[in-house]
Amino acid sequence: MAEPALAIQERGSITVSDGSSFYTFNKDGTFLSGPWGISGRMIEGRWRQEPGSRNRFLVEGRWSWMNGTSLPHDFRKMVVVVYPGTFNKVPKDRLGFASVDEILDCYFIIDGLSPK
Amino acid sequence: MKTALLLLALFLLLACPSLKGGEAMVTPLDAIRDHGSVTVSDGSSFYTLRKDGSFASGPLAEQGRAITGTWKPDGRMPDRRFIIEGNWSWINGKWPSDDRRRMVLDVLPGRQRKTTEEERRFTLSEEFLEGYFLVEELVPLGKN
Repeated sequence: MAEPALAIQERGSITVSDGSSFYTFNKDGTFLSGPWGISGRMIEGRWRQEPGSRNRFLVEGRWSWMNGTSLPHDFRKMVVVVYPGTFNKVPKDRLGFASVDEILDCYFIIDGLSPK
Repeated sequence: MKTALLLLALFLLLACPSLKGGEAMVTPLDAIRDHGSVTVSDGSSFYTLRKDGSFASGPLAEQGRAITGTWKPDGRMPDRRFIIEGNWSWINGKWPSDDRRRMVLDVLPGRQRKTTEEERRFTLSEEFLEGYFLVEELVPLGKN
């Protein structure tokens, strides 16, 4: 089982998915989320680990809608809790706009989401 | 002319999957009306909105986050956005006893599919609405 924070350091990034969206945490602190389909919510921002926690990630960024209308300055903060999991290849027909080869198949939850 | 129109209608029926029986797109409110509840899943958890206004969420695993509460349509987008207020807890684990929160779910139309035997180990739902859905907001509520 891969620990998410360690995997980010070792692999350069991790991506988790809820079936609707992907969520990518990059080693340089950037965060990207988008839909698996051709339209849906996008998040561009930054992430940091919650102090004292191994698996709580605080994300701050701009919410928008790919191929749709959205508010111009929709900044929010989100707490994502990612538990250990295993890496699985993403089927090519499911890649959409995610530039990843593998996703971390794991239990994860959104634990907070509010305007910034 | 009449035959041509009939053929055109038949062609459209065969060409458009959404018009075929069993594969039609279903809105969450349609599912609640027709089946008494709608359940969506992100692979980690299920989220069930019942006709009586109750809401339940739990993990698709032996342990994980659970939510019990109520739901109502969000007046801004009543056909797809739902405001949930309830108690957050953890099945087979420790959690604060009075963790009340409000969550807004945005559920777009999808296709109903039968739940698998594995999924039915953790949820009472016989069908999941497979579609695009998002958590739009999740904030703490004041103490009771």
